[in-house]
Amino acid sequence: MQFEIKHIADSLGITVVYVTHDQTEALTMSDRVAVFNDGRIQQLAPPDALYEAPENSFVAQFIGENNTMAGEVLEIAGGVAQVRLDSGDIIDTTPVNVRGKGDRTRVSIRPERVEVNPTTLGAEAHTLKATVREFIYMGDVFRTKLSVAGNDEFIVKTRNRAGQERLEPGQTVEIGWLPEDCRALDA
Amino acid sequence: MATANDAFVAFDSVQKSYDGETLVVKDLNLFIDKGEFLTMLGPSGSGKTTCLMMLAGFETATHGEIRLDGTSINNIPPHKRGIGMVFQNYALFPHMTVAENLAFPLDVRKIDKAEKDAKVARALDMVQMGAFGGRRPAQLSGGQQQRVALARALVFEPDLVLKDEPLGALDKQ
Ligand SMILES: Nc1ncnc2c1ncn2[C@@H]1O[C@H](COP(=O)(O)OP(=O)(O)OP(=O)(O)O)[C@@H](O)[C@H]1O
Ligand SMILES: [Mg+2]
Repeated sequence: MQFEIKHIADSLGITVVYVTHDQTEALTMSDRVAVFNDGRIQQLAPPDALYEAPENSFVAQFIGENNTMAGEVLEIAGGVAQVRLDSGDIIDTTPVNVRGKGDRTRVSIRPERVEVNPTTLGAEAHTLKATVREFIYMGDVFRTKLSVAGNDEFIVKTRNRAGQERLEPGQTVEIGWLPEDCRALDA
Repeated sequence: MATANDAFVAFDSVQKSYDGETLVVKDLNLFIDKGEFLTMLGPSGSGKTTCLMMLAGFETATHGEIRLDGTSINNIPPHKRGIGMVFQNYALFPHMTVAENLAFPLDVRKIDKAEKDAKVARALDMVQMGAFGGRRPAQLSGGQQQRVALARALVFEPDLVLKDEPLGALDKQ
């Protein structure tokens, strides 16, 4: 039904303004999505930009699933913000709405952009130690809950590809991601 | 991308307060292209339905201007805006057949019988409900009723369709 309206609108050239609570619908059907909060548009963007490049913590949290870690900016230079997480770990992030040294930030990373045993990511990738808390089998994907840098609800999603390891609670692993996927947002 | 000057739908510095005190829509600037599919997403109470209601003409903006195809619609009543609407509280008439429900907005517009029948048939076909014209809404599944509601919004060939999907079981918030 919901896709029908999209196909009909496209074929007739009709403009549609659509209100939904179904994010999948919003991401799959829209040319642009306006994310509202408290009477204001927080971000207005095509679905991929909204999902991959949220401009603030509200949008990052509201759209899809997201891991956050709190910290403080040490330095912003050359398009990279170095952040000391509250756990003490220092990581490179992409500065989004932090201004400079001393700013509190929430860094944000999508569960599917995190690699376990990150040998595939290359030298610029960040790695952190993590402890597995829960492994959830979902058929097409695995959802693994980890403790990472003080966040006990850190989620990693891995595709159930041939030979993909199924992690066990208590196991210690190394996880990693690319700095461009890790966004320093407002605290 | 649409700008304030060439947008098909323009919310220009729009504010809305129901009680004269709190703004539930605060300085909305939103410019939508012709043919664009624009979705409003956000937590409950964030102002989405209010924006649709102002565009539809059931609520007036407290401040600012709403334009459709370059023309201010602040003072145009809902039925003259040429907007198709699929709203939850805009139910099908239970005592009318599906075809009669669709013909109803056309009756208001004084269109002759043959043309009316053709438009109704075309709109029902678009939503794959061509075989259900003789049924009453109560004899349809929930999804089929939704399709008929969409067909009713499309039957007078609007350039703009508004759809408000209420908070349902699907919601993750
Ligand atoms: N007719 C009304 N009179 C007074 N206040 C209203 C009225 N309609 C809505 N409101 C208030 O305006 C705010 C925005 O409501 P609105 O219905 O636009 O939210 P929404 O984003 O559509 O929410 P939902 O996702 O729950 O449908 C809310 O605080 C609501 O209580
Ligand atoms: Mg609503």
